Amino acid sequence: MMIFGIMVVAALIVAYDLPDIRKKGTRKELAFFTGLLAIACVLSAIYFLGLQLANPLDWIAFIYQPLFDHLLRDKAGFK
Amino acid sequence: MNKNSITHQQFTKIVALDIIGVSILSVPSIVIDIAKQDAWIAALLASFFGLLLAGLLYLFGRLFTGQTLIQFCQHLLGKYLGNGIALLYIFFFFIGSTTLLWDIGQFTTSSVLTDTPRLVINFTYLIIVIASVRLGVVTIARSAEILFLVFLGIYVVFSILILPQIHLENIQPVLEATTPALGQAAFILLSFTSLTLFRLLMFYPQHVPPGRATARAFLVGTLIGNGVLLVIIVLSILALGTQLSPLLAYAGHTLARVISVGQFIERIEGTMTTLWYISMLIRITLYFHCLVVGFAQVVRLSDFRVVTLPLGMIVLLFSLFIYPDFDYAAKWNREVWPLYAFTHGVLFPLLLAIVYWFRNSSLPAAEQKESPSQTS
Repeated sequence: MMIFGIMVVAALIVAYDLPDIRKKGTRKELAFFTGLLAIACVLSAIYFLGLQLANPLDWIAFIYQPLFDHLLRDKAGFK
Repeated sequence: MNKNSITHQQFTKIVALDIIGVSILSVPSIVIDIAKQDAWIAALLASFFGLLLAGLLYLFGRLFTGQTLIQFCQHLLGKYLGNGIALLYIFFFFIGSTTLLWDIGQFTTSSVLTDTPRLVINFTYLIIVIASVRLGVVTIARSAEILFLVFLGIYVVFSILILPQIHLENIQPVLEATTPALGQAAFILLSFTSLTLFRLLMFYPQHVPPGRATARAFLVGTLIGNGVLLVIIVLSILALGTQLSPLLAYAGHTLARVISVGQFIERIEGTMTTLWYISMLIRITLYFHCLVVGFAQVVRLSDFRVVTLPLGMIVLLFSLFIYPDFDYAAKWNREVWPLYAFTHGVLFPLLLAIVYWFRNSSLPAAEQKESPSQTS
C-alpha cells in the first residue's frame, strides 16, 4: 500500500517538475533530479517495508557523546 | 529597488522569528529543569552571548563579498577541503530540517490532532515549506514581515492574560543555582537560539548588503527574539512553578492552558500553538532553503529548484523516525545538540576567519557575479 503511495508521489513530482527541467535545464540538472528522486524512493521503500534505516543522529552522537561525558559532565559539572 | 533584496525591517523580523523558532514551546522546560527558579538569569546570559554572536556573525558575513557561506568555503579552502566543510554544513542543515519537522509531528500528534498519523502532518507542513523555498528568499522575507505582526499581537495578548495566574513567590530564592547549572542552561538555550543563526549567512551578504542598518537589524532582531523567550521563561516559572514545568514536555503550551479570565476566556492554548507554528515555519523554511541552495552550490546546479522536491521527500522520510522516541530527543537536545551547534556555529566560522586572515592577500579576487541559483 505504502509502496503504491511512494510511486504516486514520485510520479506527481516527475509530472510537476520534469517538463520545466527538460525545457530549461541541462543534462546535469536532469541527472541530479532523477538521481535524488531515485534515492528518495529507494529509502522510502526500505522504510515502509519495515526494514531498519541508519539514523544519522547516532553518527553525530558517536562523536559528541564522549565529548559531553568526559569534558562537560565530568569536568565542568553539567548534568 | 533591487528585486532580489530584502529590506532591513524584513531582515530584523526574520532574525527575531528565527531566534524564537522551536524554543517557545519546549525549551523552557529543559532550562527550568536545569537552573530551576534562576532560569531567567540563564536566559539573560544567553541574550548577552546571543548579541555577541550576532555581532560576530555580521562581521564574519562582511568577509564574504556577496557570496553565501557555502561559496565562501569553496572560495577560501579550494575544491576538496572547501567542499568537505560545505558538505558538513549541508548535513547540519539536513539534520536541522528533519529534527524540526519531527518536532512538528510529535507536538501535533501528542497535543492537538491526536488521531492523525504523523506522516500526514509532516507532509502538510513540508508542502508549505517547499512552496516558500521555491518562491525564493524575498517571498520568505515578506511572509516573515506579515507573520511577525500576527505573532506579536497574539503574544502580547497571551502574556497579559497569563498575569492573573502568576505567583511571585515561585521565583524565590533568587540566585540559588550553581554556576555549572547556569552555564549549562544558558548553553542549551543558546544552542536553540543564536548558535545556529549562521544559517542566515546563506543569504545575508547576498540579499542584504552589509552596512549600519544591517548590523542594527542583527542586534535588534536578536534582542526581540531573546526578549520574547525571556518573558516566556519568566512566566513559566511564575505561573507553573519549578516543580511542574520540567515535567511538562511543552511548558509553553500548558502555560496557555492555565489562562482563565473570569471563567470566560479559557483553554486558549490553540493560540499558543499558532505562535509556535509561525516561528517554526520561518526556521524550517530557512533550514530547508540552506539545504537545497547549499546542495545546488556544491554540485554547481544552475537552479536550486530542481532538487527541492526530491530532497523534500528525503527530509519527510527521515522526519518520521529521526528521533526514535521522546526520551532520545530529550537526551539529544541536552547532551549532543549544543556541542554540535557550537562546532558549526562558532568553531568553523572562527577557523574560516583565521584562514581568511592568513590567506587574504594571496586569494584570487572573489567572483562578484551573482550566483545563478539565486536569481529568480
